[in-house]
Amino acid sequence: MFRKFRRISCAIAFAFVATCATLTVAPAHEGHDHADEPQAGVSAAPRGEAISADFELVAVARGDAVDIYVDRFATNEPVTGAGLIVETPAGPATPIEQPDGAYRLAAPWLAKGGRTDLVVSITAKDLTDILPVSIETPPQTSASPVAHAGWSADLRTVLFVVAGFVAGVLVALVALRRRRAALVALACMALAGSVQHGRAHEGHGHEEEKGQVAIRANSEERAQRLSDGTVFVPKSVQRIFALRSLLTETARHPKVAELPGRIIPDPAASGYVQSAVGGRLSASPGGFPRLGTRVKQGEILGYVTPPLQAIDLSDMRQRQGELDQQISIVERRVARYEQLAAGGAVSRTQLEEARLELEGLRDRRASIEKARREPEALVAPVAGVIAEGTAVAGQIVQPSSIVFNIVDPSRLWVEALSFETIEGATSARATTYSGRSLDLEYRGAGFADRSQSVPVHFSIVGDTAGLRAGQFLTVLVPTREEKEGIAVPRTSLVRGSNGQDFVYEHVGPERFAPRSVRAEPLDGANVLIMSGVAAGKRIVSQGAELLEHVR
Amino acid sequence: MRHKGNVVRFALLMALIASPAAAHSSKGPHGGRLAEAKPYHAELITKGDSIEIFISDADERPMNAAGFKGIAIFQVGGKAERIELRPGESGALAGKAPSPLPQTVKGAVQLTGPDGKTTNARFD
Repeated sequence: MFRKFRRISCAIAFAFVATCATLTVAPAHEGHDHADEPQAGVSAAPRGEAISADFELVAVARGDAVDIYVDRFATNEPVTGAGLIVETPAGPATPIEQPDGAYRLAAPWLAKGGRTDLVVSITAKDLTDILPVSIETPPQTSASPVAHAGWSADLRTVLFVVAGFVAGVLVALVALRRRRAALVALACMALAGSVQHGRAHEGHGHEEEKGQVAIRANSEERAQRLSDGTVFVPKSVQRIFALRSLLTETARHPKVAELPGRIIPDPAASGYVQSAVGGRLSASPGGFPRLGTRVKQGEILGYVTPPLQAIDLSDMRQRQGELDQQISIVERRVARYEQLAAGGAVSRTQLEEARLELEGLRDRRASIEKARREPEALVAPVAGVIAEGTAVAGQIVQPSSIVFNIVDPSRLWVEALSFETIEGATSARATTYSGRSLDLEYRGAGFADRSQSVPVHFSIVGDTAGLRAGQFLTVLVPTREEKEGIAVPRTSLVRGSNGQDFVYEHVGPERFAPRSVRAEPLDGANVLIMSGVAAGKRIVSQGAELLEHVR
Repeated sequence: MRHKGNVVRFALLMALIASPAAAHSSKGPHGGRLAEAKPYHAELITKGDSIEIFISDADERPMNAAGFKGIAIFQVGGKAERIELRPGESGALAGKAPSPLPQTVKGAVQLTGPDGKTTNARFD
């Protein structure tokens, strides 16, 4: 009896262990399958792409609709307002353009799943193209992807359980070789138990799968960096990023010399208001012009009243007294001569001389009075705005001190320092620290060495709004040397966290690959790529910085 | 999770199909342009306004077009022209264009096989 019990318990143990083993194997295998997937990055809606020389097309299946994105191949510019006709399994259809630029097409035929072939004919303004595209959708995408997956998992689990059970029974049989009836009974119990195990597990799997589907639906339109370093950017995100590209071409470009420079006012359109004499400042009737006030040429900006020193004053009084004395003497002489001249005792000449003398004395007396009172007017030498100057009424200014600095903000020059003589330069470009680019015209270079460099003057062509005198900038002067390379906009170049320069190549409709490059300055807006990218590639010219930040 | 695997496989497949190298255009046995229409090959012959598509299997062995249907969309004079193709007497899919087609007409052909599955061939 005891032996029998031992055998039975042994059989239970075998069957149970075998069943458990298969149960653990079944989900373990599934899990392994998941981990094996290459490029876990592209968790996006089912999509198909096609390219031609003119267009790039991406069709994205979204539930029971297809969004078609059409862009220009070279520039990645969205093609809007184009006429699309799509040959679908249900005949030709015309998608409707959405506000975001996508062309949406109702696609009930997607529900059956599998491969769907579409032929899209595009008629943009001047171009026509026909692009076939295929979308592979999982079977019954929108209906219930979970149910299908759940059923197959269920089936597999049951199969494993049955196999495990049979294996357990066989092992027990071999070990015991007897008491078959008891074993059959045990086997039935084990089967019932294992099936229940299987169910419990399957339910758990269901929930997990549902969760995965939900996450994917939310994150389907997200840019992501893939394990190979390329960036996957769905077309809808590309529209938001406003990504643009250009086709690279190799050309010879003049080598550029970079000079440090700063903005100076145009010497012919700026000026100082200086006081010639020392004295007390007083405002003109309108008050002193404040900073930024626009003044006209010849406008009086203020007055300087020279002060009278005590010694000057006494000197003046003395002179006044002398003049007053002389005036009264001459006045009397004139009066006497007038009487005598009537009788002919005094010649007419004498009378006139006396009169002139009196006149001269009176003039001198008056000018002394005037000199005491008349201030010096401060006149604007040029038209412009007040760039500098803090005049205060009553302030005493020294002779030749600068009261105002007038600059015409629309006429600015750039003074750059060059370490070598610049020959044959007629035009140049300058960039400010904020990346603004300015066109410059060569005006002349100094000949006298100023701390091992010579000043070179350029005038700024075009709009000067927002610039100020004294601002530092970098001047790029083309030299006679030439270099071969690929010119790309400065915005194409991004600097990685390691300090390396990259550009992004548009390798597929929704793929961008970083390419390490060596770049040199070319002009204000462009840089020259010396190596790292070949000609004829599409390089992102706008939005590269945004791509760099995609993780 | 399994869908993700499908998507990836599909993306790789699409990358292969979409790459211009895969859409090979070479001479076919009837002297026309040969293009791949997985799992078949399609050979396009245009003569005036008539279009003929000879179908061959994956190993380029000729097949009878009976049971096949097709739609050709060709770029004619800056417009996309949709032409229906039906099995003809010569064992090829045949159709008529409204106007004579140039020798190097650009466009695509959508074939529907006897099993109801569709496939695209691109000619450019």
